[in-house]
Amino acid sequence: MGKIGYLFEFLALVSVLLSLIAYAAALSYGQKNYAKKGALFLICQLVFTSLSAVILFTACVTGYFKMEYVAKYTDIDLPLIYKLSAFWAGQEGSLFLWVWLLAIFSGVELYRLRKYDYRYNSVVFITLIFVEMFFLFLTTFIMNPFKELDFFPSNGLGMNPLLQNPGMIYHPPTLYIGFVGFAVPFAHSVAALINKDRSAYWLKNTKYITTLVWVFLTIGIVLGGQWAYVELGWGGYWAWDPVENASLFPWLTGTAFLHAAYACRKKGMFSNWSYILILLTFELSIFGTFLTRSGIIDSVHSFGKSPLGSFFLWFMIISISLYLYIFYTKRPKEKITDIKFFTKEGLIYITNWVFVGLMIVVLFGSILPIFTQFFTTNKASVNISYYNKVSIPFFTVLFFLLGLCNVLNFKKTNISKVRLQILFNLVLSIIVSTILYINGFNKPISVVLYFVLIFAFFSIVYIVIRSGIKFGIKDLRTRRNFYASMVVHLGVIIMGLGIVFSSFYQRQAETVINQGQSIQFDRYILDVGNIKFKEFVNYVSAYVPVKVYKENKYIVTLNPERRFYKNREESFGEVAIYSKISHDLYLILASYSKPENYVGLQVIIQPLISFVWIGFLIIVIGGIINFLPIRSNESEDVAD
Amino acid sequence: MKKKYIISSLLICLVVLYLIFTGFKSEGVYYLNVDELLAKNVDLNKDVRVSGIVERGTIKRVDAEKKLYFNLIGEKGKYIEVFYEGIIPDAFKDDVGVIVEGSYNRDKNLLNAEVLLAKCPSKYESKIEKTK
Repeated sequence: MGKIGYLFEFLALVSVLLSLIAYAAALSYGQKNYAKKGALFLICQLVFTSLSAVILFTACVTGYFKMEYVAKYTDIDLPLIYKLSAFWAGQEGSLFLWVWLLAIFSGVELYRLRKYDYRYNSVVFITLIFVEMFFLFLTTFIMNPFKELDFFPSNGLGMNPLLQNPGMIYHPPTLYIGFVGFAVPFAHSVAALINKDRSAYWLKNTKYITTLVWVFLTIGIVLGGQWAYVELGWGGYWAWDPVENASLFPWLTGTAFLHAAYACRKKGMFSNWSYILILLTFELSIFGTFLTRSGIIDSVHSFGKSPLGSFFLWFMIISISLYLYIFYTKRPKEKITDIKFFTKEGLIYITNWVFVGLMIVVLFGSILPIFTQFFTTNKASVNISYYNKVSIPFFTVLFFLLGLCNVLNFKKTNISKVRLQILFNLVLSIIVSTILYINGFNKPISVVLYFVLIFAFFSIVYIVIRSGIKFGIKDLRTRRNFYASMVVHLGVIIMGLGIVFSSFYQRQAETVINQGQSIQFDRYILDVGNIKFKEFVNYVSAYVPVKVYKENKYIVTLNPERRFYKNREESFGEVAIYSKISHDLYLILASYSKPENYVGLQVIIQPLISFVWIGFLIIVIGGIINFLPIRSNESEDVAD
Repeated sequence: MKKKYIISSLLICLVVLYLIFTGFKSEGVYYLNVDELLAKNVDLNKDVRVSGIVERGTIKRVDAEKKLYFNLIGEKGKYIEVFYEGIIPDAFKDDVGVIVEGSYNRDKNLLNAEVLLAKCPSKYESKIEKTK
C-alpha cells in the first residue's frame, strides 16, 4: 500500500514539474494553449495527491503497520476517529497535509480564475507550483509518510495520549488551511507585480479567499487554545509558547494585510504596504511550520529534531529574495496623496504599524534563544510575563484605534460632528468601566484594557445603528460586507473581554486533602469523594467524584481523572470543568494515593472565559455572513 | 507628508525597541543546560532557565505536600539538585527531559524551581523494534 501511495506522490511531483514547464512556456511564447496544458497537469497533480491522501487515510484506519508512519502513530486499540486524525499526528503526515491542501487550493484557483487572462493566471500558478514543489520534494525525498518497513509489526506504537482529544480532529487541519491559504493571495500579488498591474485588481480577486483563510487561521488558533484548556490541565489557553506564537505571527500580519487591502481596494492607497504585508504573512506561515518542525526551539509542542530546518531556511531566503527583487524592479509607483492622520486611512496606516510592531516583539521573544546563541555564549530566553508586558500596550492601542476608526470616514471627516460622537462614546465607556471598577475589577492594567474594549464596543454599536437608520433594513443585504466586518470586530472585542477578565481575575487554589473531606473555595463547597477506577478500551481511568455545592445547593458532580494509557508509563490528567456564562469552575486531579488516603486537587475559577468562546463564535458567524451567496456592493463606508 | 510617514514609523520602531529592551531586562532569563550552568560564570541574581534530564532514581515526591526533589543531570554526568513545589506535569518521570526555571544557589547546588516543564517523551523519536 505504501508503495502505491509513494508512486502517486511521485507522479504528483512529475505533474507539477510538467505544469510548471507548460506555464513557463505559455508566458515566454505568449501562447494561451500552453497555459491550458499547465492547468491540465495541475489537475493531474490534484488527483494524484488526493489518491495518496486516500491511501494514507486508509492505511491509518486499517492499521497497515508495515508503513512506518502508521506504526508510529496508531495502534489496534485506537478509536477510529483518532486513527483518521493520525494522518496529521506526525511530521511526515502533517507536511503531506500541507501538500494536499495546497493542491486543493490550486484546484479552487483553477476554477475561480478560469476566465481570467492567461498571463495573470500563469504567474499565479507558477508561484503556487513553486511552493507546492518545495513541500512535495520534502515529503517525497526527505520525510516520506509512505515509507515501508521491511517487516510487518503486529501492532503500532499508538498515539500520544495528549493528542487523543477531539481537538486533534479539527485543530491541525483548520490551522493548516490558514497557513497554506495565504499562498493564494501571495501568488496573486506576484502576478500583479509581474504584469505591472498597478490597480487593486489582485486584492479584489483575493478579497473573499483571504478573508476565508483568515477565518480558518483564527479558528485554528482558538481551537488550539481551547484544546490546551481542556487537555493540558493548567487552567489556561495561551502560554506564549514559541509554537503557539508561530501561529500568531501570520495571523497578526495577515490581519494587517486585510486592513491595508481594504484601504487599497477602496481608495487605492497602501498598495506597497499590501505587497510587503502579504509577503510577510506568507513567509511567517512558512516560518511557523519551520519552528514547529525543525526542533530548533525547545517547546512543549515541537516535534523532534529533524534535518528539515535548513530546507525551510533556504526556501525562505530564496522566496524572499526573489519576491523583493520582483517588487523593487516592477513595483507600481504609489500615488502619493496627503494622508491626514485623523481619517480612516490615517488610522489604518497606524494600525498596520501596530500589528507589525506587535508581531516583532513576540517574534523577538520567540527566537531569542536562537540568536543569542550566535552572538554570545549564553542563551537567553524570556518567559510569559515578558509577552504579557510587551503585548499589552499594543492591544490597548489597537482597540482604542478601532474605537476611533469606526466613526471616521475616508479623506474628509467632519471633525465637529465626529468629536461629539467620540466624546459620547468615551463618556459611556467611562461610566461602564467605573461600574466594573467599583464591583471589584480594579487591577489598573485590566481597567485600561477593558476601558478601550468597551470604547471600541460602543463605537460599533453606534456605527451599526447609524448605518441602519441611514440605509434601512433593506440594505442589510447590499451592505453585507460592512455588517460582516462589524460582526467580526464585535467578536474580537468580546473575545478580548473574555481574555482580560479570565487572565486578570483568575483565582486558584491547590489543596491536598483526605477522601471524604470538603474544600471551600470562593462561593463553592466541594465534597471530595472516594477514588474510583474504571477500565476503558485503551486506558484505565482513576477519578474522584467531587460534589459541587453553591450556597448549600447541590449543583453538579465533577469527575477530574487521571488516565493510564496502555503502553505508557506516565499518567495523564483529564480536567473536569463546570461552565457558566459568568465563569468556569475547573478541577484538576493533581495527585492521589489510595493507601495513604489523600487527594491532591487544583481548583481554578476562570471568570468570563465563556466570552472567549462566544466571541470566537461571533467571529466565525461574521466570516460566514461574508460568504453568503448573495450579491453585495463594495460600499463599506457608512458615511459616504 | 513624507515627514509624517517617517516620524510615525520611527515612533513605532522606538516603542518596539523600548518594549523589547525593558521587557527583556526585567523578564529575560538565561537559558542554559546543566553543564553550562555549572561551568559558566552566570549572573545568579537573576532567575535561570535550565534544561537537563531527570536522573533515574532520584525523584522524591511528597505528594501530600506537593513537594518534589530530584537531580537534573547534564550530558557530562554532572548534576544539580532541584526543589519544586506545585503541580507536577503529567510527563514528568525518570529519564525525561525537563526545563526548570528559578533561582540557583551555587553553594548548595540547589535550584529552587518555580516552573517545571516536562518535554513529552513523545514517540516521535522512538524507533519501531522488530518484535517478530
